[in-house]
Amino acid sequence: MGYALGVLTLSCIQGIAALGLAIFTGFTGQFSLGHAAFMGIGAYTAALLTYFAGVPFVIAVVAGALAATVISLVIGVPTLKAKLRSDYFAIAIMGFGEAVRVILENLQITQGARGLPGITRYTNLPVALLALAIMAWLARNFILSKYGWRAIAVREDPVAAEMMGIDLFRTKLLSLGASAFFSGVAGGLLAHYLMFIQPVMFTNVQSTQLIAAVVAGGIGSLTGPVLAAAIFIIIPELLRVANMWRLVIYGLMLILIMVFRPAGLMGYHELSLEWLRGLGRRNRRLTTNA
Amino acid sequence: MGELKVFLQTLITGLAIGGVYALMAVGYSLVFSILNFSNFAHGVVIMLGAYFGYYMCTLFHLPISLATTGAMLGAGLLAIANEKLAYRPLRLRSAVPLYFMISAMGASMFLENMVYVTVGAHFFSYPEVFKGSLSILHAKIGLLDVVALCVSAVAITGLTLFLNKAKLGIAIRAASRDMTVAGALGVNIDKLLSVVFFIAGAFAGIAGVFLGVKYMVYPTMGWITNKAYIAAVIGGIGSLPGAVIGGIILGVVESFVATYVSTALRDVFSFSLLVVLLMVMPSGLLGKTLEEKV
Amino acid sequence: MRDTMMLELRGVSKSFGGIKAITDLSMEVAEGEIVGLIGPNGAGKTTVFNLVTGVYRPDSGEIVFRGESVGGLPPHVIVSKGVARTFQNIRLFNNLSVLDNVKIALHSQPEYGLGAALAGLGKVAIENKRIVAKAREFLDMVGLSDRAKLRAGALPYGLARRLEIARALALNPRLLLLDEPAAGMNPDEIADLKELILKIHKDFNLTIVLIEHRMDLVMATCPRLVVLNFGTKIAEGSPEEIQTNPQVLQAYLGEDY
Repeated sequence: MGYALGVLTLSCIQGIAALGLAIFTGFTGQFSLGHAAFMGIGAYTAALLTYFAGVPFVIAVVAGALAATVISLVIGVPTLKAKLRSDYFAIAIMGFGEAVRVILENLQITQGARGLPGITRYTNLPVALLALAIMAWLARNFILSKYGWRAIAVREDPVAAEMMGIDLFRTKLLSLGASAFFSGVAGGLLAHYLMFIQPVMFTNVQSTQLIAAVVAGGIGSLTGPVLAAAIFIIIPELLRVANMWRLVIYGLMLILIMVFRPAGLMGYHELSLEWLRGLGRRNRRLTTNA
Repeated sequence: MGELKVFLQTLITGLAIGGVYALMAVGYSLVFSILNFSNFAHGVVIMLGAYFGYYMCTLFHLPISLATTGAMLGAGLLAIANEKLAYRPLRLRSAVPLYFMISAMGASMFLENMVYVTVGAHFFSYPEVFKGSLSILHAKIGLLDVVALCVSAVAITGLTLFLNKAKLGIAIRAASRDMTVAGALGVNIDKLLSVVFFIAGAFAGIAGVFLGVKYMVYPTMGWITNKAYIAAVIGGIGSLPGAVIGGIILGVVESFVATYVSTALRDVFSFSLLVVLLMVMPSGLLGKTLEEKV
Repeated sequence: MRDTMMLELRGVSKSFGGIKAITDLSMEVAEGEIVGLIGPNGAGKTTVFNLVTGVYRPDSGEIVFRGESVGGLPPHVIVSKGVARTFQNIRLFNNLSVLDNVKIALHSQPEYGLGAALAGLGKVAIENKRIVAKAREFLDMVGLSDRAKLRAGALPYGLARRLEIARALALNPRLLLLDEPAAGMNPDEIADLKELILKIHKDFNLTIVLIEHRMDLVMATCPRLVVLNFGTKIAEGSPEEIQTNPQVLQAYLGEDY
């Protein structure tokens, strides 16, 4: 029972991180191989705050998320500037992820590669569920506001978006900051659930898991990625699949989705009663032309 | 005296690894210049090139020159297969760059972890080749570094000549300006892309062998293959001279940081270099400020 | 007394990789005019639009919009000053609904900040509703209100062009640049388009520059034409003057007309 609760808790945490990447990739159309690093920054900041300074849990988690946001803006400003070249950002953030790992492994206070044990457990299933609900609410409000419209326009056609008077740079930067905040929250919760964190938890394996969840869950959907993130935690636990096979399958899945159904599981749809009702009637009217 | 010796050794090591980075970055940039997306599967092709070369050496006992040729061929064909299976379908329905990047990422994850589950995470070392060293101004320069530098220089010069003189090379350059125009001129885009990916793969194969000889062979090949992307961004993505310059700058900077500052912080420095450079020159050193046709 | 100038190009040049697209172009558009910008294929007409909207930065020369130099400013800034355009090869947000396309054009109008948006305050919903209503008005105007929920990419050619116009109008422009709005339309649709252009010109107090190959449409809407060839202005005047201008005939019909 405790084990099942644990898996669900982890699913919620991963769901929060997936929501963040969904805003950046699924709604703004930008690629990132480094969002795990933002989780890492959130996790370490929050953990160090509760561990050394006795800061209350919630404040520590928020502080970790803010730290992740600030750092995301620091790398976002130079790298998102190059007009129409989101690849610069994708590569820079990959380098950033590695730099964060190296720094965490070499700092005294983080206790290097061995990791930071002895963090108090404050996260449990109710806390994680509540956090997921709050974050999903925030993500939904963001997407349904004019800020979300701008992000979607940038994803659909940057040139046309600019002609609608949308500032590409600011729109991407806002999405990046928001998504880093989500990743930071997830990191803070994770640290106070596992009671132990290590730099290796926040490297590109975790980043690719998040990408897999967002892509499989569906570009332009919030519920899809949360669902997919949970599935990607639960199914391997159930089947006890070796970690490496899991990644082989994720890789293959990403290609197959892009080749056959780029909209993913829930692309351009949200899981809702309306959608479920429509499911029966909707026959192959797919919105998959990219 | 000792100062100069260390300096010279550091410089040559940096140039040699920079040459290998340039080989990797050129292939990546070439693909980018035509398909306009970041081919994140390029790193895994380099890694598999290293494995191909290793098996040629150990299973078939081929000399390193033939093993390298084999690695070029293997990695080149792998790159073509990658294009045909993971990118061509997207190309045909003119998907957005994001989808190409995701598909590339998928190919990268798939191949890298296939190596883990089949070959395993073992470290393999190549049979010892190019072991000796030269002495220049009392500095000991590894023979491997010299060979790497020469081979990189020859390969990149060859590619430049091909792109400027050969008919197919000129078609490739035309396609990098505008693919539809190249198509309209009667260039078979599928064939052209196969050639481009083969060249990128073959260069990745050479780079893989050198990295394998220098650092051993293992599934992620560490962080090294990502240097291809970093070097290309420093030079300006899509620009071939940029990729070469970016590779060499990155190699030399890393070499000096490792010698004079700290080996552990080497990668932090290369990342900082990238970010600082982009702040000053948002499109990299030689990157064109691309103006999309609308 | 000169009319107030809406747009002025003063000696503007632009080249791409050594090929001159626009050479020393000067032209003026007065407030309230409808000017036709015509010329053979590759004459540089769309490049003029790209320069005016900031997609391209001019190599030299000045672009003045309502007395303010805008050459080289980023597109979103120029758009916010009151320039809107449509695209020769339609650029709608194809995966989004017809209504959402117009909604996005109205993105700067809702009056709430990021905090209110995240908190999901009541006024966000109210403002969004106001925007949707406004978007529907624009759809009404171009005759697309019954297709509001349709995916924009599924619209037939003629309607897609109308949606682009609705989207441009939603930006509340002073100057509207229409890039071959009649391309791919049948004669009936072109007649409707003519009505639409004249109607929005009047209702919105617009100044319009129209790139068009369909001379019937140009003649029916534009009292003044500017003719480009090889990136330079070769003639300017009323349709009657242009039709008899020897240089124009030569450009269109070749050497020995």
